[in-house]
Order: sequence, then structure tokens, then C-alpha cells
Amino acid sequence: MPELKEIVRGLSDIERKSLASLHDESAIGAEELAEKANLQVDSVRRALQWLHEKGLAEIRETRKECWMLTRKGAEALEKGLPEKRLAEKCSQLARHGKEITLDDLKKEFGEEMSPALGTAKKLNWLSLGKTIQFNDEIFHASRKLLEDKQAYLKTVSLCCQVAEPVPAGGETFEEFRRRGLIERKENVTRVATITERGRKALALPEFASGQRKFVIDAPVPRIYPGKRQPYVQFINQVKRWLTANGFKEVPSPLITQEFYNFDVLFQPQNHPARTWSDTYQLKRPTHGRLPDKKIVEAVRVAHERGGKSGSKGWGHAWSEEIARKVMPASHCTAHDARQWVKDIKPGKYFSLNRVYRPDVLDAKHLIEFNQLDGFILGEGINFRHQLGIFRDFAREIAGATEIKFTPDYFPFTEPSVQLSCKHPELGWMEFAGGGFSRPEIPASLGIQEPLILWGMGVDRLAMLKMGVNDIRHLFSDDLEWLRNAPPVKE
Amino acid sequence: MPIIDASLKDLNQLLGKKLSAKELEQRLHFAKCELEASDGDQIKIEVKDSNRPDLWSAEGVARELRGKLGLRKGMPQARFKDSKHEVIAHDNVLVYRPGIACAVVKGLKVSEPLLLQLIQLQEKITHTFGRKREMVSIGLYEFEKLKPPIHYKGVAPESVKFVPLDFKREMNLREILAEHPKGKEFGNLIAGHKVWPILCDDAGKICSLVPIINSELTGRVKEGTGTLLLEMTGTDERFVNTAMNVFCMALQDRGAAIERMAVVKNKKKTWLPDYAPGKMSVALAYVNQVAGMAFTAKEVAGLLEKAQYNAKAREKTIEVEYPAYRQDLLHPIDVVEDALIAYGYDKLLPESVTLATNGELTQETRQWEAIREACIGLGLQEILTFTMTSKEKQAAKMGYADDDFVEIANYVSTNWQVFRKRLRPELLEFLSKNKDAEYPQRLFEVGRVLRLDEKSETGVREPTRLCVALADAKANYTHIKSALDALAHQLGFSYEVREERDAAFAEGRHACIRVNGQCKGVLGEVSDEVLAKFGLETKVALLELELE
Repeated sequence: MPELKEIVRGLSDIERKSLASLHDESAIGAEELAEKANLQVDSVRRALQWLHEKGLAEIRETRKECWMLTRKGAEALEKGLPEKRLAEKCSQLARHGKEITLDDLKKEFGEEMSPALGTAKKLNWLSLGKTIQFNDEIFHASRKLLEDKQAYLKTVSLCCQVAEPVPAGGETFEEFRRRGLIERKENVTRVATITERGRKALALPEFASGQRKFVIDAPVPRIYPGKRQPYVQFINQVKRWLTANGFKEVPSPLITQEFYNFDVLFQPQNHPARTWSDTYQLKRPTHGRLPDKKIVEAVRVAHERGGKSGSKGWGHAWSEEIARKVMPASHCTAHDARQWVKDIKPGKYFSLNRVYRPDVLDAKHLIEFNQLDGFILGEGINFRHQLGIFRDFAREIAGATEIKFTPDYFPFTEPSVQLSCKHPELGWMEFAGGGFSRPEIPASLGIQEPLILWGMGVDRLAMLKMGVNDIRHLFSDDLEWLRNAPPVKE
Repeated sequence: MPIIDASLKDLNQLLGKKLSAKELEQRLHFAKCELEASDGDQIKIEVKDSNRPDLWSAEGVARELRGKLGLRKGMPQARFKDSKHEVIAHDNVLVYRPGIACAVVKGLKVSEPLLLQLIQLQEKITHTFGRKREMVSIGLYEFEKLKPPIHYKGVAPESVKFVPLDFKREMNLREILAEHPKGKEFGNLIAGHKVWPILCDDAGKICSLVPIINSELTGRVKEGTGTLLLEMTGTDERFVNTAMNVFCMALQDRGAAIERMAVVKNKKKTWLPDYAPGKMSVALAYVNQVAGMAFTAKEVAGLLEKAQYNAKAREKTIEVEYPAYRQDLLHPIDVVEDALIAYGYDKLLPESVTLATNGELTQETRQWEAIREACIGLGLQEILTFTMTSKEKQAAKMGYADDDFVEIANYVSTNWQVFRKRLRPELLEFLSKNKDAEYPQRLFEVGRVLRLDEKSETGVREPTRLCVALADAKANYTHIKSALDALAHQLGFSYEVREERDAAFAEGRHACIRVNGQCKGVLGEVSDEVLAKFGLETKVALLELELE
């Protein structure tokens, strides 16, 4: 350890003030000391730590255990235990002679349903079959037990507020711990005392003179600079590449008429992809407006009889009412379709925005994610240009070492192709799909030139470039991670 | 997209060539299929084309591969004959389920893999192609137990009784709908009508309640069953015809002889399915224009023969004939694709697009970048949240009583039930998840919010919003107004503040932001009640502003 004189010369103002204030205290916490010395708590905490490392002060920790309600626990306290709420719902339905189905309960209870159902089943309140059989008598017989449990939640909440230990609740305590309704919390208190060496330091003339020797390698406070969110950085890179290569971005509303999401793209109205399981539908608003009558009529004729393209059409009556329905866009090609109807000149176009599809949210699936779609319209454009565009994307956006084209099916392209890329880290992955537009589409809109179009998910690529394994991290809610994330690789 | 189960051995037998799982995987790519999984003899094949029911069985995949492997050329011939037997269709059911077709299937050796394929194809066709039995349903019966002619007619639900499959007792039709699992699943297709469709023989023996369930007596097909009756009904006669062609072709591939029964409607007889090949003329110039190639008509015809067409090369066109089960061929473009797949996508050279155009971002993208630039200058960390969220977070937790959200009908969870109409609840939620991160926390998000608006063509307006949140022990009105001053200067707008009550903020410590005389946002200190609801223990000052 360096000589005490040297150490004293190296003390910062805050360290000096803290040490001086420690002088006549037996043991004191950082908060109290800060108040006494009129300093910021954070600074005092840091100073005490440094004094401790220099042997001038000693920090003692005491740990006190207490139990507190988790978020789930607090909710159960406020609204009632989930099994109770579920049972009450079942009881109510049963009283009205209504069938109880898992779907209904799922709607009302969401992610809480399964555990609540499990608990209720264990207590024999209900049995599971095609529908749920609910036993009101057994449920009512358990009333007292439920009330005790509810009261226990209240006790835990009160105890924690006054930092008292929780009364050992036996079974209920164990059950709540297992169900994650309560959790252990450790209150750590730190108090500092001055050491013998510290007192000696105070007595030195170097301390009194207050002259400080500047320490060049002392730790400094950290700065968190303003930054773009990494996923935004990635999306900007993709957009930059596209505009550098002559692509023009088209507007992309999140809510679109089915007309643009499906009908203009010649997807039949009874297609399975237009059902509840595949796309989101809106409760409010339900319908929007359609464009110019001439275009709507041309789309109708194309669906029903094929129209100007010489196609046979789908042979079904086409409903304007269905086409007017609005929905969250399920692919960005909907925005291409909107653009074609509005105004279109030969050129290269793209849209990159969020799209929506019902799914279960997990490490691999989002219900709201980004998609990049584009199209090229121009004299002489053919299917091999689609392959060319894919080749360039694969090399320059995805960094692929090998590519493969395979036949595929998409409702609005024919011939259709799928692009697979071999990435040095991810191996082979399906990357994009596209092709030559079905002739019914441009024919209805009066578009003369050949048209190719494609779509691709960009999220897996984003994950790779951002270095994350869980797709939910693209929308990270972890501030530390965002602060520490390096710039996204080009 | 349909995924079918098959046995590799069975598939190889149908093919007449032995492929390993690995070889099969490669070959399937050229038939719009993918080997999804393989475990010994058990394989799963994904058929990517949801418009090609003829591919949704081992027989169909094998037929397609035979062409692609060069084992056969040209169009597979349907060798269906006409039976002397009739099915008499009554008007009282034709009014709502007009499609009906029947055939006698002879000489089929019903083995276990075959039975599995039949059930699977029946499932796939009625579920996906037949839209859950509405447009097409299929029944198979033991023909020898029946006395032709067969009757397809509507009866009153209580007037007829039979033992449905998998049950032991006789039930009337209403009981079947109420109690049988299939009755519950598909009952909605007939429940609303006065008479319900049944299929029965001339002696009144019930074959099935159409399109719900077969009778245990005549409608259970087992291994070794001899001659079968195949029946299809549906709301769409064209779909029934296509499905019948697909199914009969699969049975023919298994060695069965198909005899079409005459359908008698109003004393008029028709024999279904109509298996006359489709015809199309494809211009050579069109093929080359789409493909960017210089094929000759003879080359194209050769490719199409491989793709199971009969094709004749003329000077400027290729005249093709295709099987009746190919209802997906709407336009010559569909034939072009088959020719290119037969040629091989791997042999088509990618070509660069030489169109010279200027790239351009939308006004919105440029605006968002300018906003980000300004915020980053203030040392703010950008965050990104979902546009789908919960009512609770957006309103209740904020102390707001509004309910005019853009709302999802088929939401999976109430956590994702509405679209956000404001950003600030999402930023408060973010702060609440980061109570352990070092303070001060200074965040921003730029993005759209969704607002109901009848004037918009979609009924929704999607304006850009910026939200800035400053969180630490001392965060206050002055700090956030300083930030707003700086942003206004950077982004080039001027504003004034006016007192206006907002339930989420501390009384007297917030204001509305007015731009060009209109309220465009809010700034201030978040109230203690709202902070408590989000579980926040520090002060938060924030602003949210709509930008044009």
C-alpha cells in the first residue's frame, strides 16, 4: 500500500468531506452522511467505497430478509386470486346455463388461464373435457380457504411495508412461493466507520492543506450518450442500401383495406389466408372506403370472370363489402397495391414497415414484425430480373456465401420463386419470396409494363447483426442492454 | 400450406423407382414440395401450393415426381368408365347443397398405408380446399351392402335414425348433431335448414348424414374392403367436380377402376366427374417475354410434356391439354411457370436490372430521421415499443377514461388487444422495467399512433408522435420544457404552452403544447398516482407531441 501521505494527497474533495464527516460518527449510512455533509448520495456512496478500498474507512453490510408480493401477487391482492376469478366466471356462466369453453376463458384471462385452471382443477372445482364441467358446491365449500389465502396476501403486503418478517404461513406460504406470488427480498444496509488509518490521515498536515495531487487513472463517472435503437439502425442501413440502388420508398399505412391487402392482389375472397386464424381483423373500425369505381369494377370482373388479362378468374361472386373491410396489414405488398392504384410510373419501389399476424409470442415469433416488400415495373422486365434482384439482396444485404432458387407458391406471383441463402453463421435459410406478377393484377389496373414483386422478412437478419438470439429483443425493454449495445454491423 | 404424412416405401412403390430420403428431398424442390421431416420410413412432405389439391397425397406427389424424373411424359390419362347405377338427387336438398357426384370404386386392395392416404386426402380436401366441408365433403361406403339406386335427399331431423360411426346406439339426426363430435364441429352447415341431407340406398338403409358423419353399418371402410361407393357433395358444383377428379385419379393410381354413377337431377342425367382434359393455347412470345429466354416452341412443348401436359408445338404457339384435376390453371402464365420449373430454376441465369432511377425515402422516413437526430443531440436513448398493446396500459393505468381505440376482434391476449393511441404509457412501462438501471434515464421514441378518424379512407389516422421521458429523483417541468425548447429550435417549429388539465400529470405542473394555435401535445410531471400504478419510485417528466 502506498504511503499514507500519498493517499491523502490523492483524495478528492468529496472523499475529504466524507472522511471529515465520518470523524465523529461511530457508524453512519451513506444517506445520512450525505445530508450531514450536504452532498449527493450517489457521490458519497462512491467516495465511501473508495475510502474503503484505500483502508481509510470500513463498510459493514447487514442483510435483512423480508418477503414481498411479486407483480402477480400484487395483482391477485387487488383483483382476487386468478383461480377465484376464473371460478366465479365459470359459476356465473353455469348459473345462466351457458357452456364454458376454453376459448371463452382464454379471451378473458389470457396467459393467466392455464395456471388458474390447473389450481381450480386440483381443488376439484371443475373438470376438463370438450367443455368445462363446473362444480359450484365444491367451490362454495372452499370459500373459507380462499378468504384465508386472500388475507394472507394482505398480510405479506403489510409486513413488507414495515419491514417485518412474514408470519410463517405453512402451506399457503409455500404455495404462494411456488406460484411466484411472493418473492424474497433482501434489504441490505451499509454503514461506514472510520478506521485507525483514517484517523491518522485526518491528522496529517497534507489533509489540512487540502492540496490534491491529481490522479490520472482514477475511475470516472460514466456517460450514456444518446443513441438510435439498434433495430432502427439496422432498418436504416437496409433503407440506405435500397435508395443507393435507386429504389423509391412508398407510403405504408399500418391499417389497410382488404381490397389492397388481398383483392387487388387477386387473392380470392374465400381463400383460407383471409380467415381469423391467419390475419387479424378489427372490431373497430370495421370498414373503409374503396377507390375509383372503375378500378373496383375491374377488380371485381377479374375475380369473377378473369377480366382483360384473358384469365378464367375465380368464378365466385365478388363482394365489395368484404373488400371494404379494414385490417392491420399482413404484408407490405398491400402498400405496393395501394401505390399501383394511386399512381404508378416505371421504376423500382420498396416499403419496409410493421406487419401483423396472429401467433403466440415467443423467442422465435412476434405478432408484429417488419417486412420488406418491393416491386419493379418497366419495359422488358422479366422473371430473370427477379432472380437478379434476389442475388444482389442475398450478397449485399444478407452477406450470403451461396444462394439457391426453388419453385414456390404465392397467391399474387406466377412464376414464383423462393430465395434461400447460405449464411456463414446461420447456415441455409429461407430468405425471400417473389416472382412475376399474375397478369390479372396489372390488367385490372391498366398497367402496361411487366411487373415483378417480392417480399422478405428482415428480422432474422436483424437478430444476427444485433447479436441477439431472442426475436423479442429487437424491441428490447432492457435499458442496460440498449446502453451497452455496440453499433450495428454494416 | 398442407403437410402430408407418407411412407417412403409406399411412395417409392408408387413411383416405381427407389429414392433415398436425401434424393427425395432434392427432387421434391422441383415439385413445389419440401421434405419437412423424415424418420426412417415415415416422412412428412410440405406441399407449398395451396391451389393444387392433386398434390396433397402420396399418389399425387408420386405422379408429379414421375414427370419430373422423366419416368413418364405427357398428361396422365383418366380411364374412368360409366356405371349403370344411379344416384337420385332431390330438390329439397339441392337448393342449398347443389353439388353431388358418386362413383363405384372397384378392384382396390385396401391396405393400411392406402387407408391412411385415403383418410388423409379426404381430410385435406374437405378441410382446406372444401373450406371445412362447406364447399366439398367426401364419404366412402361399402358398396356391396347397398341396394342402388342411391338417394340424396333432405329429411326432417327427427324422422330418421341410424347408428353414427364410433357410437353404439341409434340416434335421430338432431341427436347426432347435438351429441356426436362431428355433429358439433360441422353442424352449423345444416342446422339452419328445415330438412337435412342424407344419403341412403333404395331400401332406405342410411349411408350418412351429409356432410356430418357416416353410418357405422355401411360407412366404415376397413382393410380388405372390396368395392366402394365414393360420394361427394358441396355448395359449389365446380369444386365438387375438381375434388372428384383429384380423388378418383389417386384411386386409379392405386389400381382401382372408377365407374361414374349417373346423377339424376329433375330426371336429367349427368355423369360426374367431368374428366375431359382442359385446353389452352400459349403464345411462344409470351413464354419468352416472361422468362427472359429465347426458347423455341418445340423446347417449350418438351418441357411441358415433362410437366405432365400434352403439348403440341405450332409456329407461334404451344397448344396444351391438361388433366381435369388441374383447376389452378387460370391463365397461360400458370403454364409458363410449369415449363420453367421443368426447365429448372437453377439453370435460369439471374439478370441485373439496368433501369436507371433515383432512390428516395418517404417524407415520413426523412422526418423521423430529423427527429432522431435532434433527440440524440439531447443525449436521449431511443427505444422501440410495439404498436399493439392493452387498454389497461393505455387508459386505466394512466387515469384516462377513453375507450376509442383501434381495436382487434380476434386478439390472442388482452395484452395485445388494441393499437396504441398515445406513446407515453409505453415509455412509462419501459421505465418500470428498468428500475435497476442507473439514473437519470433519458428516453425517446418516435413512431405512429393510431386514431379513429372517419375522414380517413381506412377509418384510421396514423400521425407521427414523439415522446421524451426524463426519469430521476429531480426530474421536473423545467427540465422537460428545456428539452422541448431545444427540439423546437432544432426541428424548426414554434410553440406556446397553455394550462389544460390532463389526468396523468401532477396538478399545476403540466401544460398542453400548442403549435399554430392547435393543441398538439402535452408536457409535464407525471402524477404520483400514475407513477405508483406503473410501480415507479422516481420522478418522471415527459412530453408527447404530434409532428406534421
